[in-house]
Amino acid sequence: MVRQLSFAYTCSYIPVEIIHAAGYIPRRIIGRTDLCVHLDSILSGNVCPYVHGILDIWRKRRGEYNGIAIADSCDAMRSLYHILYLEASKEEQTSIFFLNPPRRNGKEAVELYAKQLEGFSRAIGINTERAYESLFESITLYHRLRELFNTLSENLKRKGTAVPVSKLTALKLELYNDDPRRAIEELDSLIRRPEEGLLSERKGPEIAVMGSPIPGEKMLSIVEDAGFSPVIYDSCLDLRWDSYPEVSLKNIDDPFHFLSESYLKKVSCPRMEDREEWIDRLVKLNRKGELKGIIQFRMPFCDLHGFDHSNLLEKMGRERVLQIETDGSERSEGQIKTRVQAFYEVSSAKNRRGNREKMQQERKIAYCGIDVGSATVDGAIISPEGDLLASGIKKTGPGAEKTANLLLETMLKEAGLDRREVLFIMATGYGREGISFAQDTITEISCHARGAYHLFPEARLIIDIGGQDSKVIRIDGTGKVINFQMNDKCAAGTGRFIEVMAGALEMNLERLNRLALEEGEVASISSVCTVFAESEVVSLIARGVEPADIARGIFAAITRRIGGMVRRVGLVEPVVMTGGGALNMGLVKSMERNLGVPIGVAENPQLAGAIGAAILGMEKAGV
Amino acid sequence: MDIIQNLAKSKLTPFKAALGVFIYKFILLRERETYRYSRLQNRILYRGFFNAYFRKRRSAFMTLLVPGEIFAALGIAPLIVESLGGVLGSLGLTERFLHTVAEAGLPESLCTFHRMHLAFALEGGFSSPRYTVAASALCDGNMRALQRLSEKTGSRFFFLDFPHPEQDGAVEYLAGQLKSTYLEMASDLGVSRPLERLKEAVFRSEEARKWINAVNEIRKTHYLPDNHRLIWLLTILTGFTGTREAIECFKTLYEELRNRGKPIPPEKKRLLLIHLLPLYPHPGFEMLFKRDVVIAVEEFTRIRWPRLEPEDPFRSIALKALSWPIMGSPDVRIRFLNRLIEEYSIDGVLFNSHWGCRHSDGAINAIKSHLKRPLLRLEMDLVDGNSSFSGQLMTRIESFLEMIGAS
Repeated sequence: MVRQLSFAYTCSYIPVEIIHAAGYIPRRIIGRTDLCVHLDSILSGNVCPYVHGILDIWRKRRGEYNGIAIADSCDAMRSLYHILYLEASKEEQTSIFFLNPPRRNGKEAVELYAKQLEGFSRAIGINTERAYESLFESITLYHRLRELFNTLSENLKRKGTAVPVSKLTALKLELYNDDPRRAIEELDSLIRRPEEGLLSERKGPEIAVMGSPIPGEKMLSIVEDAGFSPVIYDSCLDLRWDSYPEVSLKNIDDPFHFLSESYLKKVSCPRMEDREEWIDRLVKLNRKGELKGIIQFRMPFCDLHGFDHSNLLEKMGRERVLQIETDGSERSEGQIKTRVQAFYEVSSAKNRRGNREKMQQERKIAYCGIDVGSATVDGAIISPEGDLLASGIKKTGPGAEKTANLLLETMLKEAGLDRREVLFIMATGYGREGISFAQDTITEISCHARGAYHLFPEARLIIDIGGQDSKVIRIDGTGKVINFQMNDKCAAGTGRFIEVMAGALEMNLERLNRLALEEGEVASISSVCTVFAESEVVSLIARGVEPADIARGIFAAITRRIGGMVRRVGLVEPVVMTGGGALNMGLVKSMERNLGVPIGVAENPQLAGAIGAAILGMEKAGV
Repeated sequence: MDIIQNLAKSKLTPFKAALGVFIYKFILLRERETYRYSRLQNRILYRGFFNAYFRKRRSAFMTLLVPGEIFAALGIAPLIVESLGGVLGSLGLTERFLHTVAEAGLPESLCTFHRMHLAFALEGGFSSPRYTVAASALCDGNMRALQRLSEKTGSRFFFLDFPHPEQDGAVEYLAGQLKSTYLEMASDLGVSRPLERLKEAVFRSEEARKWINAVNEIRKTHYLPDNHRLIWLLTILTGFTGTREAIECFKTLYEELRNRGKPIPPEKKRLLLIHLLPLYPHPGFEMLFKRDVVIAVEEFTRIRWPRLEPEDPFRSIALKALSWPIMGSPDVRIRFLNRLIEEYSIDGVLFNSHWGCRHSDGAINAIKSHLKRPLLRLEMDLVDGNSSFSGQLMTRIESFLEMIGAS
């Protein structure tokens, strides 16, 4: 029998068994942020994009569902319930349910939640003997489905191969939102005859991925493509679907008590009182060497996952934990890839220095680095001794590869080299993947670190301010990256921010810097959002505030933000600044004031990434 | 004030900051208070602050809405952690401390009240009180923030999981947790006759309830020039009911409203305050308070506690703790706010959307459309003055005043 009626739910603490027993297909609404319209006029902008996404889906596809069950997962979800309830007609309100799972899982909490579940069951339609019987049937079906998922992951691990977590999560998303009978059949046959391409060899550092319920398979694929083997996916799209305690289905006297206990005792989510115990388990796995690190995806405004991150940093060390704040949309994928790849480079860094002399021939040889940024393409050619033979900067323009090619030709001419004499070309920057003539690519984080280290061997902290992003990178005495932070996709704290503010003041960058270097008052600019800060600047001008005070305020706003990133990485001296932003002396001075330490600036700070790429290319060629 | 701000610019340690707060807030400022109720309020808060440093045996950290009776009965003067963040904010010290939480990897979207006390703890600025008690009510951050605080200070952690107040079994669930928490603390402290002491505290709380209701009644017709400061009685309402000092504070306030308060003239516009006010001098609000308006009532101080029964102390305290309309369903809250609008002849509703406070702000736009009076929502950080853009807020406040006809 195919069931057609769908019933929406929002949280992994809502028992799907009850929804199914009432005659519906339970369908989890995943707040997809890529297509979502932010409904700030209804739901506060202080609320995460995921919950905005759920509201958006519900409003667009309300007619597909017979009702919705929302759990008090967090303050944002509770607000969502309030909105749906207040927007609904009296009649519709009867199909909007709110569950408040306790935050603890002792006897009293289990009893309390069992009472709620019983009330929910009656309200949703389980009020006949037959429906009550079907609840036992649903419990059995979902129990079987969870067993099969556990078998799928466990069996395949033993054979040395595994279903990648990204595929497993995609399967769970599909099958937990389907008729459980059909899902069982499909999973059963998949276990007996695994589809080609479902399995892959487990390789690369084993890590845990955790965090907000960002559409999992996409983010996990980025992690897997970077070379990691995620072995734990701690999210309510995975573990909290089937990490239930070992239970026996025999002698279930009270199905609500059974469900309450099973749901409250699975791997806890960050709102639960015993969450710290789970964090400690991850830390232990790391200490035993079974987990090399953790990548946490966190939605903006999700504080609960923020606490996890802070605890992990303290217990595992900064170099083993990467937090990526993202709304999970396609727009942010490029930057997420860079961060994950850089984390991989940090996690699996080996001494790639080879016998460079062996590679040196009688003829001239050189190495080239190309840094394809959003504003400019920067290039550097270096000799095997690391001397800069030629360099150049060109505006990126619409065709990054064409610009890079032109730049290379110009540099070759300057250095008096033939293209065949360039032994290795390494591309970096956002557009690195598009440079087909490069032998390899590497993230700009590793390159800026290596380049800055080459220019300032004593440097331990690098602040790179580029056109569209900014990075803070901590390196050790050998130039190896040990920790880093990068701004999110907003332009605050970047070169673009300075340009926009200069535009608002109707002056060029040179004048902005000159004014900012003068001593005097610092106008208060509270927002670091480029759009809002611009309107603040306009309003300050209207109030007659001196342009020099505003200029100092602009740099102070950026340095507050960058200063926060520095502190997250840990302030160590000496500090150097690279990137085009370092050409703004007003910014450098403001940064020095904020951090209370002197900051060094290289002669051509914007070339640090390209020089680093050339050096890393040389090392790669030398292996 | 200048001394404190200069300290902030130098290498300010948490201990120096605490000392500064202590001297400024509880000694210098106390003497400047015009009203006796306010001096009493300061004295009550001061004890919690003092004990956290110097009488550890009788000290505890708590979040707002943890019922104060369990502390009063044991002779503990708690420190409400949010109030520490607030006081530091009022002295302009946020920037100095917010760096620390950023460094620890805590999110910037976490509300500044919590970030401030965590920064203090992370820098080792707190001594170790005996207990840390968190309530899950109102804020996602409460439990995890206080777990961290307890870990950092080495104090014993207790957690009160507040259920949805309208759900079946909610009162019994909370009463059970209150009982086990209270009895464990009593046993740990070696307190004799713990139940008798709690009954006495509940008796005092009931006495305070009568005075609070009397205050709320007289506020329908009378006001004090510093009416806008009455919102901070919330700290006494949650953390200190059950003490003799709280009874004295509310009784004094009632008498001062009766003897020194002014009748609210018809031309004065009356505001209902949802949530809190900024803790630092904000030009927009300074302008607001000079205009012909009065904050007639606040959502947080207009209590709805039922009569407290000393013979059934845990159930009574649980009922009281779950009586805040903001914790219930939207219908209950809207009905409550509309009742206040009618009872206090409200002209407009003022709501400060505090950065990171999703429980108060999340659905406010939906609630707004069900209120009988216009609502002004101002986005700001109530603790960190550096994060609030005053120019735009000034315009919004002025327009709102024009809209409700305030001169």
